[in-house]
Amino acid sequence: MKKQHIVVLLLSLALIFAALISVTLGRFHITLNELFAALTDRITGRESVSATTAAILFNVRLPRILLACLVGCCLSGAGAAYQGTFRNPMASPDILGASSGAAAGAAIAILLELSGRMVTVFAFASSLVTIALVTLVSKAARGERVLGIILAGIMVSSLANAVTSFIKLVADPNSILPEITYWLMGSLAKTKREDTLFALVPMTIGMVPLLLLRWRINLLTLPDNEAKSLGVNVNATRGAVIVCSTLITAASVSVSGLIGWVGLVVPHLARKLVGSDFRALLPTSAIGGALFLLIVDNISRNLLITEIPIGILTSVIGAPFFIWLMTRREITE
Amino acid sequence: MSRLDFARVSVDNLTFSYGKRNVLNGLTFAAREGELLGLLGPNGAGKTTLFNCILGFRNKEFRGEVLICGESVRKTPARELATRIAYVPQSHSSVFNYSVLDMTLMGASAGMSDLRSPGAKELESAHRALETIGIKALAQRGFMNISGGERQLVMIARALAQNAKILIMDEPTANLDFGNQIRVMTQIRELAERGYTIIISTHNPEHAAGYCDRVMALNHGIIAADGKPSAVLTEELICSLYNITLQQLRRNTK
Repeated sequence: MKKQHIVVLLLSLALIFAALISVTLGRFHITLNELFAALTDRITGRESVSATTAAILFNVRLPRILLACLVGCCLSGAGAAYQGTFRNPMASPDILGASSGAAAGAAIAILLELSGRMVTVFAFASSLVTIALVTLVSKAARGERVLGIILAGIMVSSLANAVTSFIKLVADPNSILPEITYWLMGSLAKTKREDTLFALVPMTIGMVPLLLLRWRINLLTLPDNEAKSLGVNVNATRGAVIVCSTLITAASVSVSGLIGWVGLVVPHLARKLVGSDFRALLPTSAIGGALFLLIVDNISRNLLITEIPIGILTSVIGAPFFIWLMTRREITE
Repeated sequence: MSRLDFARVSVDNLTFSYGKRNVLNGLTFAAREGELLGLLGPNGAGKTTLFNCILGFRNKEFRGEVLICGESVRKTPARELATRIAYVPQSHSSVFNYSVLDMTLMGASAGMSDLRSPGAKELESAHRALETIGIKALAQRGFMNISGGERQLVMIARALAQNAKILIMDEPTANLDFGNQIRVMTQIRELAERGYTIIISTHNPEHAAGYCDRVMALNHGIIAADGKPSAVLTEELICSLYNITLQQLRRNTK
């Protein structure tokens, strides 16, 4: 376990470092000294930094940095967990339709011209409804459980995609349609403090049990009969992992839109670093995902004068990166 | 320390059917402590189904009764059952490349609560199992980077780490070369001497004759023969079991 511990430690330090650097990046200049002054102000009640600086720091920049970390952490963690439970290294957080469902919900909310807050709530709720539907369909399906769940996921998410397409068709092309399109691209640009707090609750509720179950996920990668003979209640454990992973995926997607690749690429990279054991793999994926998305989000908001939606960037960075990973020889003997 | 007459595995009037087709027809037998029981039978004779019932994979579907250490398999929770009976599957490939030690740890953690990760105690029993099987040197190797024979030994080590006294092995020598077959069978024989109750299915009558204490022949879902290998393994039985002529068999063994 020694090497794995070092990797997790180094990644954590890198994440803290990256977060501090991120505070100083942006059109409104904030130094690290100002950050520490503003933080001590909060505790002591003094006012040593300007009100504007404090407002931007606490209402815009810090929530966004925190959200980028949370979303990256959850998408990668969920991706790793899905890959284990479905015994499929190509599984990603949207495999069961959590993203498609969230997209349909968000599109409906935007069409109805609801507030940004309600768009998030709609996306979250519709994501959960989609997964509930997938579960119901797969329960009724005959044959192998894992295959049934994945097939049900493909069908239900295609249904959700149809809903989104239809809404785009009927949406006002001057005002509503661009907003839906922008949401679908995935972006953290509109992050508010409430969004971060909204997402934090389901993320914690999902992530904590997932981390506790991480050894058991190893056993789910074995054929079902073998796992059963090793004393695992396969359906219950798999169910718990799916529910937790879905919860954190839904929470992420509902605040950030569709951000692809993170949940696929980061767990693969983590596997190269620490091996397949989920005791190390899950924390490494989670922390690595947070680091990855934080860096990409910095590029997204600082590279050009206008923001580049982060979903576009993760694909631009993720796809070549994945090809590189695939063509490299394995590090572990 | 142990009651000699105590049957570790006891099967009573076991019947199983897929739809209208009866796969197992009222099987009754028992396996004692330290007994190495070889199960022979052609493809489709019901060997795998029998194992699935004994291991509690088909609790809702079979009729009759299966007792593991005197308790009904239906009434024993999976976690508790895993500490009494272990399953050694045919060595297979795995999607994710775990180390041999991690693979064995999965056996050691069988009785643990879901929310725990294995600790020092489990680690020790995994190491002990690897040592017993003689593959300690492989501990840090990747499960997918070792040979098929070594993988089969890892599967056996994992079952030992589970600390169960009954081992169910599904064709442990299938797909192995001649040397590995002998190594695996020798290892299994030694475990039986240590008091493990072992039921193996095999397609090789010579393995049944050379290593098993007792042979049971399964055909069309009934027990066609049961007893000492020397008494059971007659040319007539083999011929009728595998549907071959005496000439075909003799030509093969010569």
